[in-house]
Amino acid sequence: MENPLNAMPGAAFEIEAEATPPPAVVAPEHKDVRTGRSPGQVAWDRLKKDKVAIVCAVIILFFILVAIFAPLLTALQGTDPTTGLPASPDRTNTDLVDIDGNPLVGMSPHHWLGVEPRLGRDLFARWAYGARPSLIIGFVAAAASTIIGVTLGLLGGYVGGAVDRVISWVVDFFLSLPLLLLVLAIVPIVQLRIAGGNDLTAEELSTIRFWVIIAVLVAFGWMGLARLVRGEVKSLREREFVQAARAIGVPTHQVLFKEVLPNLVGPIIVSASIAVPAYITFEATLSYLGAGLVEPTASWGRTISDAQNSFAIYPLWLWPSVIALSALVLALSLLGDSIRDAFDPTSRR
Amino acid sequence: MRWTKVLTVGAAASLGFVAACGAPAANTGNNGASGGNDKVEGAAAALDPNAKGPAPEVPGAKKGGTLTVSYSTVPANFDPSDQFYQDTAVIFSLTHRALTTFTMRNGKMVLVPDLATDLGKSSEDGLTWTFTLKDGIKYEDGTPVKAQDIVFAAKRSFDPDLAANGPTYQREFFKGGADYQGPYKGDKNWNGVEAKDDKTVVFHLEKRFETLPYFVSFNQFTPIPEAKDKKADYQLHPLATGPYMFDKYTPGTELTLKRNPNWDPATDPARNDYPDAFHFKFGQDVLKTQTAILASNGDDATTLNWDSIDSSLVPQIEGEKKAQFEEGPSSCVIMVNMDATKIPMPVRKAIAKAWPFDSIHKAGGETSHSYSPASTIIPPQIPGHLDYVVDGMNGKGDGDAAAAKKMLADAGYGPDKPFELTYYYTNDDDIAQKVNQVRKQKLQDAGFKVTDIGVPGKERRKIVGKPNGKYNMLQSPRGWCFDWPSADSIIPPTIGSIALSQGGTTFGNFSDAKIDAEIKRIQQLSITDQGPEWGKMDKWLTENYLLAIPDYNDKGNSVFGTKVMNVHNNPNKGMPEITQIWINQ
Repeated sequence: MENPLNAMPGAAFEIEAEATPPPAVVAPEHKDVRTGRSPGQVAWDRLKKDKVAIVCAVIILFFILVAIFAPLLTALQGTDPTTGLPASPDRTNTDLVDIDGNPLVGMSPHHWLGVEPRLGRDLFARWAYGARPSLIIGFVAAAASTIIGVTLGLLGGYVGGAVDRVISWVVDFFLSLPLLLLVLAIVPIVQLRIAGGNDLTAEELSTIRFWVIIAVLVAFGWMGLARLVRGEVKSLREREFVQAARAIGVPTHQVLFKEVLPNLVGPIIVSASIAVPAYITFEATLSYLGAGLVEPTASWGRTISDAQNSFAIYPLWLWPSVIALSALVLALSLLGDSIRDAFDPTSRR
Repeated sequence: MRWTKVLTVGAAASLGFVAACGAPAANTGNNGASGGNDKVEGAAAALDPNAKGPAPEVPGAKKGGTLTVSYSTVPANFDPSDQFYQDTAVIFSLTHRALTTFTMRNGKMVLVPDLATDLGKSSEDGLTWTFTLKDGIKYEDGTPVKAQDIVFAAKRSFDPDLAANGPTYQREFFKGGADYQGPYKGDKNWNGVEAKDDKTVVFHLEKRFETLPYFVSFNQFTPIPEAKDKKADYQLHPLATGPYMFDKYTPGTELTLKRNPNWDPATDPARNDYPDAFHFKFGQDVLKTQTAILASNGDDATTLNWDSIDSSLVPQIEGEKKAQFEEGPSSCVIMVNMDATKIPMPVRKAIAKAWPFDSIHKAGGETSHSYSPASTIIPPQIPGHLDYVVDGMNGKGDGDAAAAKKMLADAGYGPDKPFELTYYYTNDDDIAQKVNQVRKQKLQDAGFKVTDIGVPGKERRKIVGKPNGKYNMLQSPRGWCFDWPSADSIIPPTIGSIALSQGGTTFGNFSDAKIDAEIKRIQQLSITDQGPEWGKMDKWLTENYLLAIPDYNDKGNSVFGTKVMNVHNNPNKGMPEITQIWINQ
């Protein structure tokens, strides 16, 4: 956030201030001394004082820890007395369900969240491991789409001309595609292409599907940010400090990365932090609709889709994944909101 | 008979059921040759050539009301020539009358004359069959039914477009049927089926077809007046001869039937007509429909559903809603198919020993109401069924991994040199993926190396339907649904070199002179003698060849509202016998 190389830190703040429509808002009753601080620093300070942001960050951290230590947490449950096998997200134990597929064990010391109907897999293990694809997909896809969006936005906005027209056209084109429909159709096709022949086992297929989903999400997720950055850059490049840098012969890449980019940190972080929960939701949606992750990967979206019909007789199957998914997405969204507020000089929180 | 519940029984679909009875490959594999000329009083299909209308009254039944039938699949069309599906067969049993038909008497199905006066008369050499029509049969518009209309319908069932999905027995058995293209595209002078006069239909056969009386109960032998045939559009309103006629049909959505004023109950020994109307709703959500029916509020009290019961509703239908559920055998037997040319016999036995029947049923969401474990190829309701169990293979239990390991070791396979099982599974279906997880882990427990190749469902059907694929097990067919209750419509179409010569896959993908000779020998026998011989052959096959492991017999389910009365399962179809249902208003 903070950029010590920023050539004109003061200018950056002024720009932020000037960019707001009613100039009167930059009122003199501001007491805090901001001189010499980057917008990043200002935002960070504001964020630290935001209780909602802190709570959300704790929740997110909790899920990240669950995902990282999933094997450890699962191992804590010990060995199942019936099957003599340690808890695992993949191991099916049909001895633990009756002939109609209903679980014979509920919440127990060996199965904290019971077992999955029909297959007898440990639900806690699947819940804990289920955090992994959600978080990895959310963060990796957000990072990748941010990089692509920023790069193309910078290029289009700064270079202008034919490059800008091409990029804008591509952005418009991608934005005009019906996303969900297209993804539903594309995921199996891409998977088939990557697979080449038909000789993939369930595990290989599941891994391929995982990365295909990230790729698809990135491919259809960068346009908003690219457009935003392009607009900002278009106005920034006419600013005095950029003009000055160009006038004294600073190379283009330095102008871009040292003069222009630092002023875009705010919108970029906001966009990325909102993208993470959006991708997680999208992954869950795809998995729910059957175009997302496949067996044997544990995923909350899949669990929700499996469990919904049995909700009346076995609610324990559905609740943990629904609560976890909702909590994580809500926390990420609220945190994104808080970050946006923190970067927005007009907000008073 | 084609399986229509493919989409509804997720499990069945996932297990590759489709190819069993629905795939064209399996379809052309129907080779129900038979010999002999005596009729047998079978366990499930007696013949009653002297049955006369009207059908016996159901005790206590009252007329009136509308029966709603909501179910999950959507009939592709209602062209009588194109039907080979279980659901449309039930609907057509209300509206269309063929030469013969099945009726339910005390839970057993009996073949009775319908439009014909008897069950047909065969010539000395068995190559000519004559059916005489009853007097006074009319279409819904009041015009009389003529023998020429049956002949036209039979010819129409050869049309490559109008009857693309229909059965193919007529091609094999009718004289000159192999190349005939129907009344529009085919030879105008073809006379495999002809009308001697307005009342007499004559079938000329290529070879003996003793089960023809069963075959002419199909919808392909319901009359279609040539002058009123609108070809592809005829399906929008096929002219009824039964107690009901089409009222309003919205393709893909719903169909309502109303009473046919020109149906004469005195001519019909098989059908009752209690409800005033029927309302069929297609493509309904199974769980929602069944839940509403069990609650029986308003219209749901007069609604019937014939999809497999959702496992989440099992506690209800086993408990206080027991009276709203009916189950019984269907015509389908399901097997675990192996390629006997690639897996040696000792390993096939080890697979059978290790096979996790229960786990797979559980993973597939099947309940004790959707299947009954099988130990034989021929289902129990077929005459001649021999109840045997070879090596403890009874379709129950969860496999004995340790014993299977030992059998593999005896056959020369061990951890350093595991036997590799290669099969395809459907990877675009959630339940199929789950079933595969269980199957794979259990087979690995037994010491097999498992290569599970995941492909989309449509792709899989193609791959496993071709001989010499990369697989060495789980090829088509997954099972078989008999077209009529006789083992000659089960074993010859699925086992041996004649079945294999049809181009598709078979049980075991295997041919052996001994098996072929045995099939031929039994087909020469009279039908009375055939039954027990098929039963013995069934056991002999499992003992000596084990081409496929008997898995389970499929069950038909019906869930119905509290005002729907007298619902009984038709064991030949696994569907409710709809003509005997009445509404208690």
